[in-house]
Amino acid sequence: MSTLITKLERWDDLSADEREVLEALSLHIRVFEAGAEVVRQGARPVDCCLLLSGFAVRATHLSDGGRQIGAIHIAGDFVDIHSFVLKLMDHSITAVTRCEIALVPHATIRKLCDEFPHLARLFWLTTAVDGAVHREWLAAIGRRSAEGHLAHLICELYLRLKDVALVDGLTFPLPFTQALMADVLGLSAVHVNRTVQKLRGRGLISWEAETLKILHWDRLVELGDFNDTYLSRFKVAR
Amino acid sequence: MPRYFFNIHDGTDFPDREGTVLPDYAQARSDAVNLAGNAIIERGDAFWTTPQDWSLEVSNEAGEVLCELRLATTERKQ
Repeated sequence: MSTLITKLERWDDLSADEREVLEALSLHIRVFEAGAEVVRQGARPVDCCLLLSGFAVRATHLSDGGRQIGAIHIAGDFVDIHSFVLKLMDHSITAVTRCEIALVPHATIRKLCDEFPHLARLFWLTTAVDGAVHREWLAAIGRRSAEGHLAHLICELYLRLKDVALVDGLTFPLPFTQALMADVLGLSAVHVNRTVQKLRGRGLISWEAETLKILHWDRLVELGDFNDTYLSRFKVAR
Repeated sequence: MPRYFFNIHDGTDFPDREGTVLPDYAQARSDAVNLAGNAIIERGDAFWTTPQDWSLEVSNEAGEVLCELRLATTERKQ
């Protein structure tokens, strides 16, 4: 829960009451092993999944067996808080690594929103930022070069992980296979591999043993044409 | 699973030293088409002005070339 609080407080201060009610939530925690499906496309969830640790993705599945990953989620993310209002899942959620997930009942979300309108606005903000991330990804998949797209994604993940204190300098865990990256970037695994090699060759990153290290932040930002406005990384009354 | 190497010959590309692990040759052949398409899209208009022909070779770990995809441009006078 502290990671969610850290994440929300990146955007706006929480009152003592708001912090207290979040810390006092009795959480039903479930562990999902790497590769496990957390929520099925087409499901009617009664809980929202708050990711406590690990990496999870939202994916849209096509009838021919293909899939497109539409979002990567990290600790502190309410992966499907939108399911509270949408009711029926149009996409799946899958654990990429071992994930600890707190299942927060929709009834609890409703109660929090009724009693703490400021928390409701911050939950709304999380879905607005998720939407902004989708727009950036759409622009990247449609208009950026493969190198620019990968550079942009690395910049985004780095800042999101940094904001919940999960980076070490310019190094962070990235336990994704090239096949998974292919489903994120909309490329073939071969093209992902070549694109990673190009970024390595330019001296921008190293990516060994599931750990990514940014070697040259400014040049990576330039290559990815990256601007963090869409992540709304500032504190203001919301 | 076998490892395949995808080398683009266009006078500027780098050699694929790492290769990519793929389920089988059929997947490698399919990915070659995808890669070739994306690679020339990234090249953009410069693809027309590259003097030499463009090719993509897929080889196995033994260094044997399994297939080759060639593209050539010809601009007719307008």
